[in-house]
Amino acid sequence: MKKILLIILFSVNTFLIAAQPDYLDQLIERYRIENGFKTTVKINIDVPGIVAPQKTVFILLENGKKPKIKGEGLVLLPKKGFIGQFSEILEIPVHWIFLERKNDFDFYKLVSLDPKSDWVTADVKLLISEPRIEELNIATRKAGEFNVKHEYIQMNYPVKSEINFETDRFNLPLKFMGKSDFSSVKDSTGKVSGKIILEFEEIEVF
Amino acid sequence: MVILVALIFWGLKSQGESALDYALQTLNRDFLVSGNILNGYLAIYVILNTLWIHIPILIVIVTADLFSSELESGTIRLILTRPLGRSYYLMSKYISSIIFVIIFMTIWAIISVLPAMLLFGKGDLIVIFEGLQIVEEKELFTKFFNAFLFAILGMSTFAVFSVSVSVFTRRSLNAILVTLGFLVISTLLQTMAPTIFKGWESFLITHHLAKWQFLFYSNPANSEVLSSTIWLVIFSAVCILASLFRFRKLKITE
Repeated sequence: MKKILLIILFSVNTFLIAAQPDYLDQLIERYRIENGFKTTVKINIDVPGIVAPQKTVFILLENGKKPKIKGEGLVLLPKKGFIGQFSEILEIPVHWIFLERKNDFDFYKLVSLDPKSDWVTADVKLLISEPRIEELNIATRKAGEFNVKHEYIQMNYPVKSEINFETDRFNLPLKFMGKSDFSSVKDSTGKVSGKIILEFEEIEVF
Repeated sequence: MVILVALIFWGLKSQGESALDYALQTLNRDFLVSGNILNGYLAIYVILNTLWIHIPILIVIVTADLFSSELESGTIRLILTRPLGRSYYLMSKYISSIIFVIIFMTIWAIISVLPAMLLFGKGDLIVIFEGLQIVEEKELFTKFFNAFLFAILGMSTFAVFSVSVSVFTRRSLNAILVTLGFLVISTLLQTMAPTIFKGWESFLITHHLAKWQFLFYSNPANSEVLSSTIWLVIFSAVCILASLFRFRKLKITE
């Protein structure tokens, strides 16, 4: 009886660990970036302690090269939650752990098996019918946790991404360029919650 | 003035990039910053910070001597032998000091703006004041122009104050020392105001002189700038009235 129970438990466990979705290939194909991409993106930054005007910039990113950014004035481009995130998550060795299925969505927890990857775990919400990534909650090694919600219209890639994250309060040297006071932007833990909205106008993947 | 501005340019050119990298390290952790941060507008903004101490000192050295030098050398007796009211004479000194400030500040602006633009180019301005603000280039001309006008008002107030002090002290050196002492104490109290001397700021001239910074807010605090403008005008008026009262009874033959 014990042996049977152990076999059942082992089987269930194996099934859960290897619980990658059967539409994974479609998902990888959807977000595949062979050599790079170019896009025009409108950036809205809503981070306590930072006042930045809305910017529309052209970005050309080729694999292994520095991104080329064309836009008026100073541009703050978020380091996390950009288009490249899909291939970063889907094209490295990961453990897929099935969490639940709710209505049209599957929920998975991904654990990175690549020691070089910046992220450690990712909770993914997938729309089964397309299939596509609707929402990601990523825990990174250096940059903390961040949540990304995507909106799609017709293209493979989202037309709008909302990135929510928690970061350390901005700690700029006092009197560096005048008087500084960050007391109004701190919370009790010294962390601030920020939001960045990216609206993509044209995405060309090559 | 030229040496001061040249030193700032030299410092920014040689160490500006690394200083900015240091200052913006927390920003660089979350964002890829693209564009010319160390631009001419930032250089001018850094130069504007000389309004705290350096420019007032340079102005006071001249304006505190305007009245008392005539008293010390005795030329005031010669001038007042003419049919000229004392109030008229003193007011001409105040007007001269204000004209001097306007010319000084205009030259200061020219020797700051032109080389800054040639050396560092254009771009948006990063202002570190109650957080980090990026001010778009298209808004900067108006903001700098308004800051320049406010600086003229602030420095004129300081010039008026130094002339008034010289009416009371009668000696140029004493007037310069008293005015600069006032500036140093005011700056010191303002530095300690957030902790020890809470609520004292509004009585300090340096607090009001520094309000040009508010003009660089994304949502400018116009009421703050307006209240400081009124404060500076009233302070100047009080200084002029007090010195007029004093000058009427002043023995110029001593």
